[in-house]
Amino acid sequence: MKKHFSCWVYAIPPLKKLISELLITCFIIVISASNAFALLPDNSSTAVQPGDELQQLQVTGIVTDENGSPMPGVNVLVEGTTTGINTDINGKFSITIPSGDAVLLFSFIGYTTQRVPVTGKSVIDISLALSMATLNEVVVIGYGTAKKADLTGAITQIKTETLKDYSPSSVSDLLRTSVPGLNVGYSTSAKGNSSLLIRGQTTLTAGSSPLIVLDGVIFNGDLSDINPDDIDRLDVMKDASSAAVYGSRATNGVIAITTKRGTGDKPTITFNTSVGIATAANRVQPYNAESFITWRSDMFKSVFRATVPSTLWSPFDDPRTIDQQYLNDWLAYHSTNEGNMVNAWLAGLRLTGTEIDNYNAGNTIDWEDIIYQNGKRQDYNISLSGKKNDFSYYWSLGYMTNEALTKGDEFSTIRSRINLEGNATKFLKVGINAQFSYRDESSVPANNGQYMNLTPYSTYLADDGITLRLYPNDDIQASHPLLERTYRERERQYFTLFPKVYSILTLPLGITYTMNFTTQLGFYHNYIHDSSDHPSWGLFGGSATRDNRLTRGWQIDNIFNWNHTFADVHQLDVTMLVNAEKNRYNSDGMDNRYFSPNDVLGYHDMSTGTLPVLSTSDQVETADALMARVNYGFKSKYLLTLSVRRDGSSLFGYSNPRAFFPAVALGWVATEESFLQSDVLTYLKVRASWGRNGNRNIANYAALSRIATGKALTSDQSGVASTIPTLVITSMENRNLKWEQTEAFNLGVDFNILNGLVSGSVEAYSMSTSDVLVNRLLPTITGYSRVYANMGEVRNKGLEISLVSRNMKRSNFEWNTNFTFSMNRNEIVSITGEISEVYDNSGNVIGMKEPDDIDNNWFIGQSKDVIWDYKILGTWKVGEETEAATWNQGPGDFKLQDVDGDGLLTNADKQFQGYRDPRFKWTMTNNFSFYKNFEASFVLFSLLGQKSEYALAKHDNHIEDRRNSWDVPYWAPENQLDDFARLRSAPASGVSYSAWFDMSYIRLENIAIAYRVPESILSRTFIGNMKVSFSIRNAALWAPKWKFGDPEDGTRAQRIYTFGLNMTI
Amino acid sequence: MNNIRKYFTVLSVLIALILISSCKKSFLEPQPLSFYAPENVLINQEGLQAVLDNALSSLRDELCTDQSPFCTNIKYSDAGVDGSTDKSTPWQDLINQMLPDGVNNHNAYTKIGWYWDNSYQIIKDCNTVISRIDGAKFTSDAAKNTMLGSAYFLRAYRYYAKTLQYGDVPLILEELKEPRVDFYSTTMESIWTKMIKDLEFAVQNVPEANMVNKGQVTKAACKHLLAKYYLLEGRFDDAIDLTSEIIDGGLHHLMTTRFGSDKNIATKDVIWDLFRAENKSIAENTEGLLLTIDRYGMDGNTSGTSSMRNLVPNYGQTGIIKTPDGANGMSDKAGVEIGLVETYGRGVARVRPTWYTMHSVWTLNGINDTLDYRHRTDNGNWMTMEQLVYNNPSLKGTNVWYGQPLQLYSSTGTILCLDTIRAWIQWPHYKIWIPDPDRVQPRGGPGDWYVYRLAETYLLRAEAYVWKGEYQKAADDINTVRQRANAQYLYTATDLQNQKIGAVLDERNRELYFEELRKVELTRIAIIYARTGIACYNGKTYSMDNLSEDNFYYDRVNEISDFYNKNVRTPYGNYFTCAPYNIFWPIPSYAINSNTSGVINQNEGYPGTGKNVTPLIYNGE
Repeated sequence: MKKHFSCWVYAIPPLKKLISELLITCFIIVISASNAFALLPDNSSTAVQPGDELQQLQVTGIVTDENGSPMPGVNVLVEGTTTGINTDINGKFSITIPSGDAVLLFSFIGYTTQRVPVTGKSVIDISLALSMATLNEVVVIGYGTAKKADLTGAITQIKTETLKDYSPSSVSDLLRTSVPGLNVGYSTSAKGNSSLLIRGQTTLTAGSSPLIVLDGVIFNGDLSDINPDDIDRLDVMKDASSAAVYGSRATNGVIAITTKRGTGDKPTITFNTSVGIATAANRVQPYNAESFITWRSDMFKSVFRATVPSTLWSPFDDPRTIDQQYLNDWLAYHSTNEGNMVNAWLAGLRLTGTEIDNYNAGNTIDWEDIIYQNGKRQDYNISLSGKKNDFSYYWSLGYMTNEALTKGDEFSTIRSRINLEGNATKFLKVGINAQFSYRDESSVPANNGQYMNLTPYSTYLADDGITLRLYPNDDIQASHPLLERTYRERERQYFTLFPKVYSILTLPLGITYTMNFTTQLGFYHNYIHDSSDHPSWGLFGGSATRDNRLTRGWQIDNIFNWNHTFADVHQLDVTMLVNAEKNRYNSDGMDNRYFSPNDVLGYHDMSTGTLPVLSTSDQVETADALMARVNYGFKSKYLLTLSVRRDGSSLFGYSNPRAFFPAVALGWVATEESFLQSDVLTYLKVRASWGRNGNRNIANYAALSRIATGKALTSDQSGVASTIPTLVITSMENRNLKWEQTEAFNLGVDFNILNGLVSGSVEAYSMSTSDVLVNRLLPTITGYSRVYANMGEVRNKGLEISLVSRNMKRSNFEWNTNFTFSMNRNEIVSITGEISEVYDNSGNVIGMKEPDDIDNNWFIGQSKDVIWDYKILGTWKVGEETEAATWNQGPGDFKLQDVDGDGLLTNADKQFQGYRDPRFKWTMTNNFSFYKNFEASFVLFSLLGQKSEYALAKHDNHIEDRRNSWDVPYWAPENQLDDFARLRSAPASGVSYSAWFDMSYIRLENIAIAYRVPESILSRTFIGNMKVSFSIRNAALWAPKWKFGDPEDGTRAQRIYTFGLNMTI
Repeated sequence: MNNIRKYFTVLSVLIALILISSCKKSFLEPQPLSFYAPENVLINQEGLQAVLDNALSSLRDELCTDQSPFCTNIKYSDAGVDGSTDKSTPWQDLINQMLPDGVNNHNAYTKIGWYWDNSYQIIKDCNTVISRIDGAKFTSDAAKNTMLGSAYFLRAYRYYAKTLQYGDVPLILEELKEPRVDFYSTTMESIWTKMIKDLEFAVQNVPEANMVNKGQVTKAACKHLLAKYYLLEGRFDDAIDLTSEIIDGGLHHLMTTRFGSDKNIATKDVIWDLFRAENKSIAENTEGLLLTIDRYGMDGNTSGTSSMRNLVPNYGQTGIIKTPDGANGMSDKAGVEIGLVETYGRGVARVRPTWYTMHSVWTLNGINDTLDYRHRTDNGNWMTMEQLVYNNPSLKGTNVWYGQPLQLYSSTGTILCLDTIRAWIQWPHYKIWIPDPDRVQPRGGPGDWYVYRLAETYLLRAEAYVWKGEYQKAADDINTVRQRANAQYLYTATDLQNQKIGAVLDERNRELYFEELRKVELTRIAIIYARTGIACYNGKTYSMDNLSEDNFYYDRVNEISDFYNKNVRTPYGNYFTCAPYNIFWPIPSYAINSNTSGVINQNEGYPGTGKNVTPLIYNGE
């Protein structure tokens, strides 16, 4: 054997030294290991046992699992002795027992131990029953799979089957409440993509979203291209060791998505459909026709309170309602007469002429009806799957179309997937996993950002009665919300194709060689025509844009895997990887305006415009990787994982293209030890891992000096102008840019009490990121504002708990609860690493400290999301005028703390006041099933401890007298609030600060009920299974301190009612 | 065994192929495709010219944008103040707001930070040209020296404003290729010495205006700026020589007769012609020494000068101007019957002129000179509120005041304008009216703009004569400018002897309002007083030793402004205040903080001077 390997090695002269060394080392370890173990006696066939009594009997048999498959490695022990062996690869055993009345114990992790008295039998065939189903689940560990029981890292698996009743419409819907330590953002758009973050923010400026791996291949596309209905399970790798096999990109964790494949001899047709409606929930609203006038009146009382008294009567009160004895004073103030007084009053409230006319005529508009709707949602999926002999197939087709609350916020997609796998020969398996998607994001939504600005006394159409009114109240602060939707024509579509073809070659000695070749193709186009019918776009003859983008990429993975069990007790799984990838992006754009003779052809003929502008951009990105991993298990009791990966990337191409990422993990199944056998603690596993991972999530070419091109004008001597190019160096180069690296420790415990009554796991971690990719602040003196550099250190610590309890199990009623909890603490340890002197007020050096980056809100020793701001001590009250006046303030203005008492508000007065990100997150899912066919469940989701600013609390917007505003509380002399300022308040001496509010909330995220049509009914039809479900997403919310609508999105949050039907034929 | 051998052969070939293909060294090399790098473009005349043109186009950013940075030089002077009265953020209460930690580069606050941040970016562009010029290919040495001189000029232009705004500042003279955080302040005096040296080179090597495209640096512009530096240095004779070279050089003349696009409109005059956007760079017009080029409808233009937005009163806000019977009087809506917005543009009075700028400077010997073309109201060159009429369409047919001229008081004496700071002001329509066809409510479209104009050269020479005590010559130069504008009163030597620099400052404000960086020029004059000890017309003498406590800049603002000296309060509640140390603006604290390995000095009077060290004195080369 050795000879062959040598030949093989020397047959490849051009190998780079490092690679060959790595491979040789690994193979030699394997070979020597194999030789060494081969010398050991084969226990499975000839069990040599102590003792020479004549009564000795030979018992043989076969151990199978619940499906009848042979189980290798099952421990067979003679009760009360140390005599024992393991079953062989075929599940067979042969054991010598001291006497005929001995008792045999059959045990295997995850299975209930069986006690079988021999009673003279010489053949005992038994079947073991599962005790903890989850332990035998297959989990994706990166370039391979493993049984949960053999895991050493922190991996959480989600089976999509369990979430079906909630009719998830995106991958993020699947993930939101399922995984402790995974934070999924909220999206209220029709598309529904959300941000993902595993554990804490490890970086300062580089990206921090996790790596998505789709069917074993790194996926660079848009998550919405993956149909959630095609997904069988998701594995979220959180600790460094499990993610380490993806080295360079694994800092932020990995989400591995496995799609469905065919099983079962009979072809299965599955039909899943859901229809739903999205309605408004927890929305903040602007002032309506009535409260609008009151608000304006209060505003002007506040603005002019110093000069215009408002006791007895106020010039801002309706002259028809004030005490008539003051009417003459009122008229004199406005220098008007009774005929003009209402108009004078409204003009004083700064209503525009149009608004006054509408007020007088009693015309009002409720913009709610014009901007918002109830969104319809539809999702249809059909799939065909099965397995015939050695050939499995899965094909699906899905169509989804969603509307969000904002009119015109629409998203539709068609997605199809083919997964095929077959055995070409005995030793060669080939397959394809291909995904096609089409996305249409053409629709132009109503401008819901205008909702707050639009006043109820506006006019919908322009004076011509046809065109939309550019500014419905004739003030530029509020534009018509349907302008773009009406006058913009857009076609924006994405086509993507993501096929992976693979072959698995089975080699002798249990070695397999897998080759994946994946291509990624994306076609995107965005055509826009802004019509000249628009009231202001007409001035430049309309404009049109055509953007086309082509994304191409390929990846190749060569994976060697060797899985072998030596002497029944040494399980070895070796994986090696050689990978390379290349991605290219090409985009072409053109713009034109001043179309002549007119712009009716829009973007279909760009050439009729007279101000063409071209733009193009081409980018290339390459990477390669080598990886080796060894999983070793001793009797499934002691587990070890070692891995090393070397990555290279063109992003750091000049000086430091490559980096090494090692990891190690240990596991110990404590309950396998005889001294820890217990009926209460059924299962206990302790895991520990350490590893280093990288982050390369920065803009392409960030290391390079870059020159931006622009255009300017020049003129010849006679005054005729022409366009000239301009150049400017926009970024400093940093050829020494390198990988950001995160070192992480993870300690995990998995446990199971009373045979699954309560089970769960606890993870604690500590991560330290160094060489952080920082877009570093430079003194503007340099002419540059920032440069990409590796500096600084960020630490994250956290705790995650996940519990499952079987609360009740009766024949007609079952109740389970899942609870997850997580918390993360972040600390910036260092930013630049440069220490400088600290001075006191008189210029004496009082110490050394690394300076904070105030501009970025980064402070040494603080969390990245810390809030550093002036502290609001409440409002100045009536009676505190004198003291307030020293700050140029008055009652109703916010009182800011002058920490150093110098009478000025400077940076020295800012304080740390909490955090922007949640301090704690928990979710609780309760599942009920009753009368066999009914299921019900609800999910609570909670984020606690985060704060957010709400600018309107300051009421300092100076243009509110020209538009509408959100109807939120404000300070008034008769209602002296502390957390809201008076209308048109102003900060002391013009400083800028924010008003922070606690955003903690508990959300009833989902409620679902489902009914499974009984077999007795279906048996007479062609339908195999049928289930109907009804769910409400975002059913209720409790946010005690947040008063501005939904904490995640106060203007577009939606409650979704969905009816689902799942059917198998 | 044969089978095994076969597998391994196949396998090894496969692996070999993969490794060979994936591990070529070049595979990971970055391939920048769609953007230039210094190595492939900054290597010849064309490349460096494009960098210089970028720096030159920054003049548009400085002078011709909404809330253009140059406005801050009017707001913090005797000529105007910040006119935004609807919020607390604009820097008006300088004692409490003009602080190192304040928001300093924002439309709603102030744009002084532009002169700190952006002008260093422009200096960087100049330094890029200067540092790379020897390595680049040029068609001739003359072409090379032209470009070097032009880059020197622009850098000197930026340091001129910067030192007169911020005092001692870090001096950067080379392109920086790696991050640096170890800067120190350099004395402004030594910076001036260096800039003078550079400009002397530029004057020798940059061609005259008739040899280069409009928008490029000219010899006269270099001389004009050098003359200002000479004045700073007290080299009055050198300043007189240089300005005389421009004035008598034969190339540049004051425009004294009708010309250009509107020359046949009889009601207009030469001052109107001089400021039409389409007339500024035509061959006939030789008054411009340096221009910045911007045109409507061309690729490479800006979104507009916003000149009307910056200077026209905010007359259209509902209820702000009422008819004498209390109705809402005005509208700045487009398309109404009396379309004021189409004629004057929509303004928000970013700059509010002082009484001095609107009234007293035009009153000579007790006569309000409305025949001076620059202040002429009968043809609309100069606009007053009373020339506008009540145009609110709702008034039509219902209110007798519709179409009648505005009045500030009703017959009973009630004031009819709720905000006279922002909505009751006069403005030089002739200077700021630039058509804006892309906007429903025009605010000032793209158009050429003067950076330096010969009229200022005359006033620089007049100033030099005043410093020297040659009052008749000074009066002659001022009068040349006045005569062109049809001003009725001509200065005498006695006037100059009495008013001294005050007369020059007055004429500058008449001729150069909304063109000159008033604050910078005031500071320059304050420094000349302090360096020379020449007695001021107010009877005081000044010294450099206590500049931040006692200086001509503050005394002048306090003497003239009707805002800062009276602590006027805006409707929003801000007071106008200023202090002697405001002669220099505060160094931004972020500049001091991010410079972790060096010390940038804070100006005296502001918090944070405790860390100051002795500034560097540049004496290189």
